[in-house]
Amino acid sequence: MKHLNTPIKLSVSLAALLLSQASFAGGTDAGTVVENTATISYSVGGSPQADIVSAVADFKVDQKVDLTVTGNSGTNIIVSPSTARATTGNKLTYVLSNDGNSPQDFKINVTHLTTDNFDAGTGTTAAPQAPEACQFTIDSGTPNAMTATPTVSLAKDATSTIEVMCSMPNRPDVDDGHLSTIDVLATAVDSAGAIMAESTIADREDDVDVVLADGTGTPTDNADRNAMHSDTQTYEIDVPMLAVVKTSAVISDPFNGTAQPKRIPGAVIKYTITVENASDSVATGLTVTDVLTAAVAGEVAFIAGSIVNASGTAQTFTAATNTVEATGITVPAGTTTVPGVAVVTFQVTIL
Amino acid sequence: MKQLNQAILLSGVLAFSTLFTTANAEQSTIKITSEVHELIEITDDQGKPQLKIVAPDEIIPGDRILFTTSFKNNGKEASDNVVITNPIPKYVRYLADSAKGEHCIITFSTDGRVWGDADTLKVRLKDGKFRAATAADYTHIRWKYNRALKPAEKKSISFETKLL
Repeated sequence: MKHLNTPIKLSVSLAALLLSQASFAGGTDAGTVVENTATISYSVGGSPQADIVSAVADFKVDQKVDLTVTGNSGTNIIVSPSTARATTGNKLTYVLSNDGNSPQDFKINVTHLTTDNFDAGTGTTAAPQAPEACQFTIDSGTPNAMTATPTVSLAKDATSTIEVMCSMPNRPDVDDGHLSTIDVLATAVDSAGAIMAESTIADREDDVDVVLADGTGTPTDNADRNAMHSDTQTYEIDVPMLAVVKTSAVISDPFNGTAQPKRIPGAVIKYTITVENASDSVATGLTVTDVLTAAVAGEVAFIAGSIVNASGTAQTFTAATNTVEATGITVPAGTTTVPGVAVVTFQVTIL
Repeated sequence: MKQLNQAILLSGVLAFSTLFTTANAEQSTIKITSEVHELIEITDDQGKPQLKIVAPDEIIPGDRILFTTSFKNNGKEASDNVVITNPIPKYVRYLADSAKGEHCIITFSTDGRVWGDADTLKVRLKDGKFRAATAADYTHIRWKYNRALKPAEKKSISFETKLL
């Protein structure tokens, strides 16, 4: 009652405020004893009596085993075929998080899924890229083979980064849009390497029991509360599927002009080089090079300034080698039935 | 009477009537008991979610915990001005509107010194301004039982928290 009579001064201890708002992702440490006591003050016949403090009511916080494995990218990782394992873009990143309330060991399994199109890091074709088996690292440590199952120890709320690196095979079945999925499964284990199990003993108020609290991951972890969690990341092969077609047409001849021209000496011939892209990815930075063998043989003469490179950035004719070069060409994405197209044209005169 | 006079000497300024009840206080002790339970969500026969009170055997962060304090008048006289103060335990957060007690005026504090109800209590921010205190700010709860606690009468108060 004394406090209620005190004029209300709103001077709040900042420390108390911060304490009351303390919170941690993994929660209160396992084994912590939470104690509660209440104090009662009262009067009898108007006279205050000594305060009475209750006995402590307490419980011990049990061990929550919880973990998540999260692939860093929500979309497929786009890779090129025939690339080395060390290629920067050939890296899949996963984060393992200890969401429990005590330090925990986790065993890591990295596997290929069988439901995809191919297994990255495999193949027999030596050139131009010999297959290099997939490897994975934990927190940038020593690379592990896919068959290894290392254990990582994480403090409460700590995370570990698992990176998987694979070479992309150069095989006929590694085609545009084909997928290779890698699964990372983490399993909470005890110091002896056995999977953490939920306590089945009833009524242990003052002991630390184990409660599994993990969610369901990918098919390698098909249930919640099993001390496991997993996620996948997928490589997607991106191949611009290009085809080049060269055609010629006569524009004019010295006698007929442009009406029904014929390919006689003095006639102007227009060559058309068509680059077709049947994949769903844009091809950029293409260079089209054409050595005019007919010019080398003295049969035709290149018409200066006749190169049209509408989809590119620059074009040259090198007289010494009779070479037409068009650079910086971008071929838009398309489909096998309606490919994306870029066209380069130039003209020659028949000698 | 000799003994009584000695008591007066010991009590100093206390008036005679006060002394008389004080002398009887040893028999009018209130017994106070604090208990802890876990609240788990179950589905009842009608398929509706209900909270069930169970022993605190498996408690992990995020679980809901019920603290109950009961008080009984073991004395021969009624007690009044009964006030129960309960600091909110460490590692738990008070859940808003969960403090209960029949015939009680419930106040809260964010420091154990200044008390107010949920609508008036404020906390001072770093910049010196004030904002309304929320359940997460509370450090203490106080129940003032606004009736006399008769002999042999037993009452209880409770509050719910979430383990951090």
